[in-house]
Amino acid sequence: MIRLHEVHKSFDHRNVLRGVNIAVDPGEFVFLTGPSGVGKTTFLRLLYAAERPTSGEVWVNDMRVDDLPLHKLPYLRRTMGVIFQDFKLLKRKSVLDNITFVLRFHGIPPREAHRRAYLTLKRLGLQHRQSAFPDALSGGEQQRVAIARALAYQPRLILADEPTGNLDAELAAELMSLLCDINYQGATVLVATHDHALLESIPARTLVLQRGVIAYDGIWPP
Amino acid sequence: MMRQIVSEGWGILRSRAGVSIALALALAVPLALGGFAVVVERWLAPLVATEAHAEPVQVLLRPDATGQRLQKWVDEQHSAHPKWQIEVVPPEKLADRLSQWFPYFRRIMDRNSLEIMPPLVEIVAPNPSALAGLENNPAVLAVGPRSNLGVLLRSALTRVRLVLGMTSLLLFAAAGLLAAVWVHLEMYRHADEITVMRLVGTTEGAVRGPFLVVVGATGVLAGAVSSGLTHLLTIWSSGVLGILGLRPPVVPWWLSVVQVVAAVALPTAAAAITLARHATFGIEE
Repeated sequence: MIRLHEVHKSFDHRNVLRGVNIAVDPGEFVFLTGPSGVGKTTFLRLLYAAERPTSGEVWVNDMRVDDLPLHKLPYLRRTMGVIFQDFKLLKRKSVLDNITFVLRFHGIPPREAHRRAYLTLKRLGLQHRQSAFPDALSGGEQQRVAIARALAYQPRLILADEPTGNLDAELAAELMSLLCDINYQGATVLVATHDHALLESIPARTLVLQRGVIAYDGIWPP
Repeated sequence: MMRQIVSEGWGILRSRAGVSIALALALAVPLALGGFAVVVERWLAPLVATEAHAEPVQVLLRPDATGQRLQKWVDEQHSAHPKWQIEVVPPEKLADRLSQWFPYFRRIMDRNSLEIMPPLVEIVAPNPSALAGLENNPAVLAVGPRSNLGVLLRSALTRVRLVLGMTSLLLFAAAGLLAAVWVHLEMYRHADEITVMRLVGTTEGAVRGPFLVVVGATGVLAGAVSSGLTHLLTIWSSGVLGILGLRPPVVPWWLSVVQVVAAVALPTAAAAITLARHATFGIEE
């Protein structure tokens, strides 16, 4: 599902990743952790090809991402759902439209897109906010809309960048439960977080990124 | 997918209705001018075709150039200029011809014998200005006007076409540039949407599609407005020409089609180039 081989990434001579080697199998639930600024977001961006590695190979869903032609990027990105740290919601669209918008561009007919969007919102307890615009939502609600958008088209791979950063403990637990459900249904889930409480809540494989390398790979706590 | 592209395009169009209408007008004015130039040209064309026939230049000879002398002079000119068609004006038509130059000649000729009048020949030459050389001929008293109304009209028409065409072209190019700049600005305005569209796997066509829909719809509006303006200009000029007793100009049926096609094609091409240059898939989002 995901394979990184000797991946290096540097910005202005600052080495963020220095020879990362990992493999994630289909259906795995994996945490990626490490201190703030260690390169967790960069790691995820390499997976959805928002960044190219300085060197090394990145494979996602049987596609080599590091030298993927630009015109093939959409087809890679359609195989994954990304929950962004900064949500990336469309301010001019309602909550429901933020989700149907993506579904429609995935070729799903309007009625079915609306049905799926509504069901996903309901699953996240946001159905009563479907007509609201993002600016009228709290940080937690915005984060749940971003999660709903990533889940709505049922991707095989979910990449989540600090998905519980704006949620209280109860909502964070609900979200993790949701991600576990999705993982149980067969999707691969990779969650980047620095929240140790979150890591301890679910016994899953954890990758610890430190000084640009994977310093630990196993169940957390060690 | 197509419905979604159209729907997104419609959303942009609705949110920027004022700018879209201004852009449509900016496109419509040069197209209407160009269309009216076509109408004027088609109206003038038969007139120019009629008048474009080479007109004879009248050459008045000395009164003693009659009989054999006249024939000899004609033969000399024929051999020197084989392409000239030289015709001696018969005495009975002399009064008509000469009175064109001097109206009082008719009265003189009515009272006197035609024999007192100098002979007149009419020469049709491929290049009438070449007849100026005859002014130095000892047998020639005068050479008539060598300019041709058809030539003048054609020259005037060429200038009118050039001015209207260049003006339309410049305005049209400016409107195309305006469309490209507008698309560029809209892309910045919708940068967040474009970023999200790309991150969730939207294809390049779907990213660019809504902008092309907006520009295409604006082009259709511009085409319709330009066609309407051309018709209005034609109706107005028909009124003016009607007062002068001239036949009215007509807008050809295909002109509206050409105007709409041009109004859609130019901004769409400008938008497509702008999108290709500035909305390519960046790796850095």
